[in-house]
Order: sequence, then structure tokens, then C-alpha cells
Amino acid sequence: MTRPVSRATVISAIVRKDLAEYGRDRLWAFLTVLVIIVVVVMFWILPDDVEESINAGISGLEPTALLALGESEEGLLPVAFESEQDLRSVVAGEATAWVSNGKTVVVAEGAEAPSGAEPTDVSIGLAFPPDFLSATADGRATEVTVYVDGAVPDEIENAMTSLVREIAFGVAGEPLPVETAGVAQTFVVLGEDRAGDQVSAREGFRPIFVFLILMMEMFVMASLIAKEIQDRTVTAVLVTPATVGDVLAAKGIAGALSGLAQAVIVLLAINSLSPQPLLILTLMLLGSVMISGTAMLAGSSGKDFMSTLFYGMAYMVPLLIPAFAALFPGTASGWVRALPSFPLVEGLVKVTTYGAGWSETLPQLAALLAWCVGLFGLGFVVLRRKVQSL
Amino acid sequence: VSLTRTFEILRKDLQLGPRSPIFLWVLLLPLLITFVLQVTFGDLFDPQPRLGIVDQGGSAITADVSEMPGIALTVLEDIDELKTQVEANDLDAGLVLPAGFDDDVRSGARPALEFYVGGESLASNRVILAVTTLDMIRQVEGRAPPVEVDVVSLGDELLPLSVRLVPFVVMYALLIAAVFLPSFSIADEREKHTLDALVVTPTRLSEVVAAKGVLGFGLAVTMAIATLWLNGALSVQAVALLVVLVIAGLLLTEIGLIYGTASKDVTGVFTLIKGTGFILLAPTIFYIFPDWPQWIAKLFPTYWVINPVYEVVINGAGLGTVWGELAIAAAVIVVMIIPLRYLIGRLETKLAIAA
Repeated sequence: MTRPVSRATVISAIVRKDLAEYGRDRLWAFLTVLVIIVVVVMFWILPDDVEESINAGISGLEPTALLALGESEEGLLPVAFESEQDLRSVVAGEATAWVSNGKTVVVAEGAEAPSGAEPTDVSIGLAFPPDFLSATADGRATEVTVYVDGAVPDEIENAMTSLVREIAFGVAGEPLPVETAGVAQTFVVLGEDRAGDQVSAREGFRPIFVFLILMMEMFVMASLIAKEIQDRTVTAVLVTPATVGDVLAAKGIAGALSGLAQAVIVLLAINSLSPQPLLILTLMLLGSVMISGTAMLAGSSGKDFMSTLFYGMAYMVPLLIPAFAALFPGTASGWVRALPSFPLVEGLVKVTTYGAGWSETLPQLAALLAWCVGLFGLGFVVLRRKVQSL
Repeated sequence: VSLTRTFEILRKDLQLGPRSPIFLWVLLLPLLITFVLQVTFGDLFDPQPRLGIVDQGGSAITADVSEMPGIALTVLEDIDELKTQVEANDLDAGLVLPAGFDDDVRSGARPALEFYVGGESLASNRVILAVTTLDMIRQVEGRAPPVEVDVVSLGDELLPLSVRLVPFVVMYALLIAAVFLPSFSIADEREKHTLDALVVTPTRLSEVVAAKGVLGFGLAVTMAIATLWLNGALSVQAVALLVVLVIAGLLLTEIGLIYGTASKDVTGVFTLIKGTGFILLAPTIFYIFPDWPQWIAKLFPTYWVINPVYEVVINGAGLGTVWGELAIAAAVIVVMIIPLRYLIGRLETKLAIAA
């Protein structure tokens, strides 16, 4: 008499078969490894700091005036030049500026840079006349030249022109035409002040990279499911003690496991599993389950490689939108927030960028769980109908 | 090659083609990419400082800022809403202009300045918005500044990102139609063994390949023109534009036919395209980043077709300017006929053996 086989044994056997098939498919195995490598390399190539100051070359002002200017204007980095000629040549791209021990050294284009000096990018320059301070204070009109590289945006050019005028007003002793109790009281900062600690491109792209990995998992699972349906191998499995439910549960588990495994590899490689590894893994597990559900939908819809790819893309593009939206400052639009992948992206951003914990990400986890149940359930039902129709 | 049979196959492909997802890709992807790149990435790489104003008295400052290039202005009704948006980083800064603000400034009453800065706004945006706002208030005050500012622009003006992205978008439209469509179509017919059936008819494989090529080429040129139109970049140099697009279409269609005849199935084509797509698209990246050494772009074969498109569309060049690059592209097209003919012959032999 044959011993009855438990559901868990049946499902785990199918999971093993599915994962083995995944590994045997050379195209997807190659693309999976390729995407992981590309994602990791791209992550480390992206800058991890944000250039948020305007480097303004300045000639004709005394060092004390320059220092005062740098301290009074947050976001402005004055770079002192000895002469207007030097300043002009650097802005025009005929020479480069290097800073060594607080001094700017101008080197002709192609010439060797001074040792120990750091290059500085100066694309806008304010050339004050040597007698600017005394003449303006005496009420004599002066002329300041603003040198602008063609690539400088209009708003910076206008702001620097305004700055020169405001400096002149200040030197001439003209008070502001508005009441200002002080910089802190007048320019009120709302929210956490992240000046000098902005979200870098590397951090901003993290959700997209994670999503690319999940996307690959979706294509792989959808392709394997479509192939099983086309080749009708799924019907062969059903003549064994396995039920349709076992096959589908196994597909979901295999998809979630492979997606989670890839995501963990990538998160480790991009050093993004801290500070809340368990929370991040939970988010990724839920994301993988959600994507598995999507893969079931795409796999059931596709008739061949191309149509599966097409349906996969059609399902994935909307899911990718929140990851792109996270790159932009501010609140995402209502329709973006309504997309199933939004809680995953928002949760990841909150944990990895802002250091949120379980309690702060509870709404995202709950929403993601609800989407998981919904999408996985939908994929399950659609795929079951497809399998039963064979 | 029989033209009659070629056009008969083309007619069949045109009838059955729209049922294939690849046709939808050809039509939809350029639209989608235009949307994503122009709307999404245009803002991402060229972010403008965002200023919100609550204007309770019709201040001249609001009108001045709205006309100022490079600053994204949002006019709001409610101060609390302004503060909420600034705090949520939907705005970089917020300015409140109470009723009578301009009159108070002009009369020297020195009204209080209510200016909010977002904690997540960049320091550079803060200085731009603060200094610009003060300058606007000075202009309302009407006092002449004690300095004359002379702006000297040096070097070439950088084109907006939306313009620099045009070669990428056009190249993608060309690639999808000219490379994807013929290659997948040939591989799909091979995979489904419909090509096997054709070899027992008088139809020659070269006629099938030519029909696929004509379809891909026609759609490529059409979609490239449509994409240029969508991006507001249709050139006035109509003849020059048509010539460069025809040559670009020919070169890319040839690549598509080579991929299709070299691969044994659709998966093979997919792998080829995934593996070499970067090489085909690489020259377009150099337009987005003009600081990169531009000579590197010339190492890629597609540079010789995309640069004429760029010159004609963006710089308004005529054929006289781009003829050298077009000649190189034409030479590449001629040279690539050799491997294409070989691959067609090889495939024909394989099909004959299989039959």
C-alpha cells in the first residue's frame, strides 16, 4: 500500500522542479545574472552625494568680504580669483581652477594640475571692480561683470545678477524694503532641514533597482508558466497526486523565493539591508509574492514568448511608475499612490533613506499585504481557470 | 527576387501583423518613451526651483515671477496649504504677499516678509529663490540699484534636456520598428515552421526576408517621423530629413534582418537584442551628456545615422552638411549586405535540409 503523500511534500517537489527549470533555462539564467550585475554596478557608479551649492568665481573682492558672503548665503560657494582675466578664462573653459590650501590656482587647459590641489567647477563668475566696496559706499555707481557659461540655467544667472545688486544695496547702506527680524526668523525652514544631507541619486534609484530585480523574476516566472501551459506539461503533473492548487501554490512559492533570493543578493551587494534587515526582507518578501501573482496573470495571458513578454511589460510598466515617482521630490500624485507597488516603494524609501522602523512603516506593510493577497489571489484564480481549461 | 511574391508576403504580413504584440510595441513604445523621458526625466535632470506664492492683493511680484524663466511658480489661495506643500517638499519655498504689500514697500513702510523654505529643498534652490524674491521686492520699491550689472555669456548655450533626448527617442522608435519587427517576425515564422512550408512553394527565402525588411523599414520611417512630431522636432528641412531617415531606416532594418536570419528562434533574437542593444543606442547617450568626449560616439555604427538626424532636426542642417556621415552610413549598409546574403543562404539551406 502506498503511503499518502502530504501536500507540503508535493508542493516542495514542484517548487524544486520549477527552480531547477529556471536554472536550466539558459536565456533567463543569463539575463538574471546580467541584470543583477548591471544593477549592482550602476548603483555604485551613481553619485552618493548631492552637489547643492552654486560655485561662483569672484574677483575683485577682499577675502573678508568673500568670507562674509559665503557665510551669509547658504548654498553659495564663493571661489576667489586673483584677477578678472583668470576668472573669465575659467568660465570660458580655456583654463581650469584648482583649490589648494584655500587658494585658487588657475591652470591653462591641458597643462599639469598642481599636486595636492582639488579641481573646482566654476561656470559663473562675478567680476567686481577693485574699488567696488569703497566706490559703492561713497555712493558712486560701479559696474560688475557677470561671466556665465552657456550651460548655466537662467535661474542661476538671474539669481547671481540679483545677488550682485543686493550686495551693492547692502554696501551702499540701503536697508531692505521689508522687515526681516533675522535670517532664521524670516526664512522659516519647514520640516526636517536636510541641507547638506540630501537624498543622493544612489539612494533615490534604490527602489528602481530593487524593482528591476523583481521585474526579471516576473518575466522568468511568466515565461515558465506560459511554457508549461503551451507544452501542457502542467497536465502531466496533474496525473500525479498533485492538485491544481498544489501546482499553483508551488508556482507562487517558487516565484517568491527566487525573487526574494535575488533581491537579497542585490541588497547585500549594494549594502542596503541595514538598518532594519528584517523589515526590509519582509517588504521584499511581500513584493516578491505580489510580483508572483502578476507573473501568473502574464503567464496565463501569453500564448508564446513574445506575447508573454508583451503582457509582462504591460503589467510591469504601471508597477514601475511608483519607483520612478520616488526619484522626484514631493508627494506622489493620487493615482500613483493607488498603484499596487506604491506601498512597497514608499516602505523601502522610508526604511532605507529615512531610517523608519516597523511602527512607521505599518501602513505600507498593511497596504502591501492587502495588494499581495489581491494580486496573488487574482493570479491564482486566472491561472487555475487556464490550467483547468487545458 | 520576384517583386510580385515579395509584395504578396508583405500584404499578408500587413494583414496578420497587427495581431502580433510586436506591432503594438512598435506603435506604443515610442509614445510611452516620449512620455516617460520628456515628462519624467526632463524634470528630473533639469529641475527648476519651485516657488509657491499666496498673493492676497494682486502683487506685481507674482506677475514678475510667472514671467521669469527657470522658476516653477505655483499660486495658492491658502497659507496653510502653502506651508503643507513646502513641508512635504512639493515646493522648495513659499512666499506670502499680504494685501497692500506692494504699496507698503513703495511707501517705505517695510512690511514683514513671510518666506518659508522646505527642509528638503536644495541649498542652491534656497539661495536662488531668496535672492530672486528680494530682487523682485527691490523692483517694486523702484529704487535704482547702485551698480550696473553686465552679463557676458561665454561658450555655447546648452540645449535643454528635452532637446538632447530627441536622438534617443527617435533611435528607439527606429530600433523597435526596424530591428525588432523584422527579426522577431523571421524568428517567429521559423519557430512556428511556417518558413518550412514556404520553401516547398516557388517563394524564395530572400523574398520573405525582403518583405519583412520593407515592412520594418516603412514602419521605422513612419514611427520616426511620428516621434519627431510628438517631440515637437519636425524639421523644416523636409527633404534632408526624409533622406537621413531613409538611410537610418535602411541600416537598422539590415541589422534586424541579420538578427532574424542568424537566430534559430525568438529567444535567440531576444538575447541578441538584449546583448547588443546598448551598442546600437550608445551614441544617443552622448547627446544627453555633452561634456563626455564626443569622439567615442563615432566608434558606434549607429552614430553615422543618428548624428545626421540630430544635425538636420536640431541644428537645421541641410544635406550639404551631413553628406559625409551619410556616405559612411551608406558604406556600412553596402558592407552589411555580405553577411546578410550569407545568412539568408545558410538559412535557406537549413530549411531545405529540414524539409
